[in-house]
Parts: sequence; C-alpha cells; structure tokens
Amino acid sequence: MKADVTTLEAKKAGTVDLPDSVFGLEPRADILHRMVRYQLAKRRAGTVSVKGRSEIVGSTAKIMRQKGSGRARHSTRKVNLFRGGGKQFGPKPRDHSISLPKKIRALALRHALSAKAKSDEIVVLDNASLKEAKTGALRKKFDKLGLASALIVDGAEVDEKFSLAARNIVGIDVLPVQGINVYDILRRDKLVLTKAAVEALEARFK
Amino acid sequence: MRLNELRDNPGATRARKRVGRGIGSGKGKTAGRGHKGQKSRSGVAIKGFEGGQMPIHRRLPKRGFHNLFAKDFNEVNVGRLQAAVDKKTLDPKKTVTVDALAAAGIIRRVKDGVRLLGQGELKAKLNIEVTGASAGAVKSVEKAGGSVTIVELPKRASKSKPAADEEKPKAAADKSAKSDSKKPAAAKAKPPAKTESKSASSKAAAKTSAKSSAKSSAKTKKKDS
Repeated sequence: MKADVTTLEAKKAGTVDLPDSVFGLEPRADILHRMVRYQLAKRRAGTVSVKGRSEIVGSTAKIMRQKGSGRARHSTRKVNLFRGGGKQFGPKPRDHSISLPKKIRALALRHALSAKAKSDEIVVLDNASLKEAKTGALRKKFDKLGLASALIVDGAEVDEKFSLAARNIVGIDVLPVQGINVYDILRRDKLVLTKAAVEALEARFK
Repeated sequence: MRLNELRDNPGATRARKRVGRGIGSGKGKTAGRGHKGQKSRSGVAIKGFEGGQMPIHRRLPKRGFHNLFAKDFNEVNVGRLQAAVDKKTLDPKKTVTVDALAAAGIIRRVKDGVRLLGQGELKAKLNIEVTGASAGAVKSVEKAGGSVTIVELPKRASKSKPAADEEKPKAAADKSAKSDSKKPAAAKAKPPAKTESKSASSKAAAKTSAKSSAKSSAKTKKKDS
C-alpha cells in the first residue's frame, strides 16, 4: 500500500510504502475491543479501599440490652447498618488487569493501524521537528493539514521543540514510536506517522 | 473504526448468574440448592459417599504400584527428525545429540533421556546419539545411511553421589563441555551405557571437581566407546 508523504507545511514530499502485513489487514472489532479493555483495565490503580466492620475504630460494647427496651436488638455502633459503621463487602485494593496473550496484543496493534489505513485516516509526515517551540504557529500548521483530533507518532526520539509546542493543543497527542498503542490510536480521528515511525513499525513487525 | 464501534463477538462472554436475588430471577429463594440438609449448605462435599453402602473406592481391592525408578523418556519419531531437517532447524552434518534435539525445538524439556521411535519416514543421513531407540527406528536410520549410538544420559537430579576418583577427569571434561553446550557437536563426554552402569551424573560430578585439563582424555575415551 502506497501513502503520500507530506511536510508540516502541507506540501507533497513523495510516497512511502506501508506494508500490507501491518497496514493491510481487515480490522477486527473484537480483537480491538479486547485490547482496549485490556489497556483500560491494566491502567487502573486499584487503590480504592473502604473499611469493613472489623476495621472501624470504636467501641465494641453492645449499645442497648438485648431485651426489654422496646426497640430493635443491636450489637455495636460499628455495624454496617449504622451511620459511621463499616461497609459490608466494600472495595479493597486489587489488581484489575486482565490477561491477553502477547500475540493477540501485537495483532491488535496491527489491526488498529489497518483500521486507520482502511478508513484513510493515516497521514505520513516526512518529519516532525520545529525550529522554534511555538504552539500558535504549530496550530496553524495543523489547521492547514486538517488535523483537529490526531495522534502523532514520531520515531524513537520525539523532537523536544515539537512536543513542547504540541502539548497544549486540544485533541493532539504526541508519542514516540515505542509508545504507540491501540487505545490512543482509536481515541483520535487521525493517525499521523512520521517516516521514521513507519520504518520502526515495519522493523518491529518483521 | 472508533472506540464506540468496538464490540466483542456475540457469545464471547456470558453474564454471571446472580443467585438469591428474588423470585423474578428464577434463582431466588433457594438459589438452586434445593431445600435444607447437608448438601444445601456451603463448604460441603460428600464425595464418594453412597448412602451407607460400602462405596466403590473401598469395595474394590487395591491394585498396582508406582515405580519410583521408572524412566520418563522424551519420545521422538524419525519422521519428526526428517521434518526438522527439512525445516533446517536440525543440521544433518553434525551428530544429532540430545542437546541438538533440544536446540532444534524437537524436545521441549529433556527428561530422563530420548528414545527414538520408528514412526514416519527418514531420508536424511543422520548420526544419532540418543538414550534409546526402537528396532524400527534403528532400521529406518540405517536404511537412510546413518547410524544410531546408544548413550546413557546423566540423571536429572543432582542428588547422586560425587564421582569416584578415577572418574574425576571425565567429570571435569563434562563441565568444560557444558560451558559450550550451545554447540551440540562439542564433545559432551557421556559414559557409555554398557561399561559403567553406576556412573554418577555429570552435573553432580561437575560441581565437585573443576579440573580443566582432561578434556582431551575424555574425547579419546569416547572414541573407544
């Protein structure tokens, strides 16, 4: 599959070959769904915690006598049906991650790239570097390129000025190629790859 | 494809059964456990109980035994060797040792040794060193022009006693051979099966002594075998 290369100034700069084994698959929604679920589950901190009846600090004394008061029988103030009491079966810190085979995960990334390629939402840049880290100037360039919601993936090292200029633009994410992932690709409308990123992806899936 | 268009295949997941959640759920009052009694409680497993009748696992006599000294071999068919040669994972020019088989991915984990079996067809000429071979396997290897040598593998565990004095040089050679065990052709001096039946494992022996000189002597011994 051939793709046109553009510069940041929206000028043409030749073509690049996107290998079919990475960009030419028929995207499968189920694999992408599992991968997104995997990513979102894995990133959860899992630190939520509440106290149970045994962990509440307080008196263990029975608050009223068992019989004769004319009221319901009760034990202590820490019981879960009282205000200030413990929570029954409350959340405890735990790992939320689910497992997904490595080969499926690798496949999911290829399917995500293919999905973008299929809907013609991949833009290939010759490079993503700036002389000056100016957000306003970069934003105008993105407008010209038609990038409102996009993930920009550069080679192994992202140009520092570029990432500084882009980081406060709404809807634009910048990642080095080793950080490329299914969720971030699908989250944005366009996927912008630099030539270096295409080469790195090609090498990665060889 | 956007995030809101993702979905798993129909039937890929099944909803959890929620028992004891009211009449409408169909699994309300007794939650699928029937009425009262031992079996309706949690933590109960009345395994093998037959209502007081002598259960089958006590009615029948004990039988059989477990052989602690049984050898568990990796079984390799000659057809598998041919497939590996065709795929070029196995080098037919070098001696096919147990390590070579492991390196070629034919054996996943070396157990007590490798026994060569005769299923399949072998065309390549191979010189094979394994722990055992069936008559059919030997026949098909020799038909293809190769040879089968039977060697004894060291014991798996390192529990066995250290080698006797006269065996020490050989053990040292073992260690040096192990250090470059990546090359399967390297002389991995193994005691021949017939001569020394109780020779200690090379692993254990290698721990006890660390002499580097005797590699050559071990090689000559191997030739003798």
